[in-house]
Amino acid sequence: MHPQIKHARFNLIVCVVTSVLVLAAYIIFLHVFGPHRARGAFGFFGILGMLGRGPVFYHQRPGETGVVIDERDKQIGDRAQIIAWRVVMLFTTVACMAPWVWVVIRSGLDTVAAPYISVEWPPWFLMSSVLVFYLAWSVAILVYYRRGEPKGDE
Amino acid sequence: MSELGNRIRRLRFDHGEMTQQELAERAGVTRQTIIALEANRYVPSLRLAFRIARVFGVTVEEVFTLEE
Repeated sequence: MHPQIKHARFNLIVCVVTSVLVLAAYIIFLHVFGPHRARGAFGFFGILGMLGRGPVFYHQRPGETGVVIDERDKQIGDRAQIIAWRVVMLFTTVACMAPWVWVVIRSGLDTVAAPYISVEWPPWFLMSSVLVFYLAWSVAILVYYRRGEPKGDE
Repeated sequence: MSELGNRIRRLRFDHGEMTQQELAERAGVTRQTIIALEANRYVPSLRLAFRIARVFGVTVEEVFTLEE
């Protein structure tokens, strides 16, 4: 199996496991500890640190020769990254604008007070964006390899 | 729209039934890329096209064809 496919599958597993654990832990903590301490479930985002294992998939054992990544693989990787960035931009836009729209609809534009954002939000948002990026990247890589595209410079 | 075709499979067999792996190694790509090329699922860069033609000792036009 191609190393980039292994890498994408690994990232996909890490992202899915992280999402499931964060959600499951949040629901469990909510019932056990209450809404304030339930946010401790976001600590499971730390599993995303496993994504740093990526370069291992491209190592060659001593004595192994041959090409690990060629122009087609780089092209697939580049296009997957473009798709992933687009998805992150969409996620960012929705995540930023949806609460704003919700507040304005509820309170009316004139009565919206200066927003207070918890210090928990920036890291939570950053971790979510990383997760969304790698999810989109992994899925795009797997789809490209399955379809045999991209079609190069055409 | 023009479609890029190639005679890589034919040329491999004309050159002592060269394997995809051997061609890949000599052209500096992975076997998966040779498979994608033979199946017309990948359009190579000009550099790779020249390298493949050089492996077979022919011109690029003898390997790749552009069908209108």
